[in-house]
This record gives sequence, C-alpha cells and structure tokens, in this order.
Amino acid sequence: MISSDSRLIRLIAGRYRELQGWGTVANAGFLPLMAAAVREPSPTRIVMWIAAFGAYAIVWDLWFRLKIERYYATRFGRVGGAESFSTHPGVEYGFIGFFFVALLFDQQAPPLALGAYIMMAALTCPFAWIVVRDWPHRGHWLLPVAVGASSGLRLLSVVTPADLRDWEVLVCVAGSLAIAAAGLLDHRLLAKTLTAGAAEHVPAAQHPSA
Amino acid sequence: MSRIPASFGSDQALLVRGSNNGTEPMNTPFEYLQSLNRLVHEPARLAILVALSACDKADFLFLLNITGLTKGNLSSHLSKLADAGLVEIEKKFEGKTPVTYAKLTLEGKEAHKEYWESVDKVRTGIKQLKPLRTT
Repeated sequence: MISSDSRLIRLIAGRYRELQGWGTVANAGFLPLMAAAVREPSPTRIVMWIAAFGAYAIVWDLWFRLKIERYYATRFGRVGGAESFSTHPGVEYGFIGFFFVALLFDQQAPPLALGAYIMMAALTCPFAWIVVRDWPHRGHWLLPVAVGASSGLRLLSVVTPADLRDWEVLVCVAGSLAIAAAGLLDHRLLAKTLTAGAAEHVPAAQHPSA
Repeated sequence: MSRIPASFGSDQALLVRGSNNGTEPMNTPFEYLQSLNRLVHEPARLAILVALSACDKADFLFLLNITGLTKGNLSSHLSKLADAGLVEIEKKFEGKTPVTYAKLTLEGKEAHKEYWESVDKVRTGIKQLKPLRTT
C-alpha cells in the first residue's frame, strides 16, 4: 500500500541518517561486548574485553559505517543536512564509552550501581523521546523503552553484587536485542517508504507540521 | 481576489457568508483556495518541496524514491521548480559518481511556508462556515 502521509515524507527526509537501521544494529553490537566484560570477574581478562570493545569500535568506524553509508546512498539516495549534535558519531561513541566505564565501575565499587541507573535511563529516556517525536511511524522504539522500564522493576530485587552483575548482563543482552530489532524496523520503514514512493498523493489538507 | 468564481454556483456562493455579521470584509475559504500557488499545489511538486523542506538537500535518486515519480516526470517537475526559482539544482561528482542534488532556495522556503499558511486559512475558514437555511 502506498502511503500518502506528508508527515512521513518529512520524517524520512529529515531523519534519513537515523533511520539507516543497519547502523543501529551494528551499534547494538557494543552491548553484548559490555555484557561479556561485566560478567568477567578477573581484572586481567576485563582488559581483554576492553581491547575487544575498542577493536570493534575501530572496525565499526573505519569500515562498517562507511559500508552502511554507501549501501544506503546507492540504494535509496543521498540526503544532505547539517548533522545534529545528538546524531554525531563522536557523541554516540562517547556515550557508549561512558556507559561501559560506568558498568565496570559498578563491579569495582559495589553497591553504588551507578552503571545500572545510567543503563536504565539510557534505555528509556532517549528512546521514549523518539517514540513521542515520531509517533506513530517509529512506535517500535517502545521495545527498548519496555526493556528499560522492566529492568527498573527488576533492579528493586537486586541485593548482592552478584545479583547486580547478573542484572547488568541480562539488561545488556535484552537491550541489545531490543535496539537491534528497533533498528531493523527503522530499516523496514525506510525501505518500504522509499520503495513504494511515499508521496504518490499528498493531500493538500495534510499539514506536515500538524 | 474577492470575486467568487462563477463555477461555484449560487449555493456555494452563499456558503461563504461567515459569522462576522458583515461588519468587515472577510477573506473566504474560496478566496484563499484561489490564492494558492498553483506551482506548489500540484501534488508531485508539493511532495518534492515537502521532502526538501525537511533537509538541506537531496539527490535525484532519493527524490525519485520518495515521490514514486518516473525519472522523466521528476526531471520535468524539478525543472519547473528551478525555473520558478524555488529550487536550486547542483550537479557534482562524489568520487567517480555523478550526483544531482536539489535544494530549496529562500524563495522556495517562503513559497512552501505561504502555501501551508493558505491551506490552514482554508481549513479555519471552512470550520467557521454556518449551515445554510433551506426554508
């Protein structure tokens, strides 16, 4: 079915980079690495996981990101725009790195659970904002929001440092799956809209900013 | 601008009486409809402008995909918009690939904004219409 939604056209054109879902899926790959590092009790082996995390970040930035950008450019076209602060790759990496350090800090200094609270906030607030801002087209971002909210409830039952570690591993894995699924659905939205032609008819009464 | 087209017929003409008791001249929804920029009002061109208004610039392939037009149609609509000064066309090479970008000009942004303002006025005007008395 061909959409006739002028708000959808604005969404696709205005958030083209954000909607490139394979990039989101690759970003979600950082979370299982965090889970592996958090699960590792030995400090020497933690270093190994940190190195793996860094290597993944380098491969992602120097190779995979460029591949993904080229894929979308040749398949769906190029859209230029002033990159906003929140979508700049440097901000994403900074955020992921901070997140990682906070989780490791939790393992060294229990029972502060700083990383746990950051993780909960990171899984709910930004994604809830995406849902509200781009409703109804990006309602699938409720998946990580649901993971964040349910993990908050589960955090109440955490008592010992071992419980906290299990909780963090579980949330990293569940959060990663939820973000990857939302990324795939973003990709589907982009592919479906740009294959069908979102604007075969644009009703004049449909104000894009309404 | 104040004249109502004959094609609307007498019944439609009565419809444009608003609720200001005739004390001040009012712009009717039909007048606003008449004032819509025809160049922008065409659905395919409107779709192009809506897409370009949400980003800095977009290439031909993206516009082709998002509008669902054929290459020839898109090219023709872009030429009309460019001739009217609403869109700027930029051709360049990215690596070895030739890319044609379209970008809204200041006039284009203004025309697009004015178009939606007129549509809003039409909508508001229609909401203010009173039902006709038939007896």
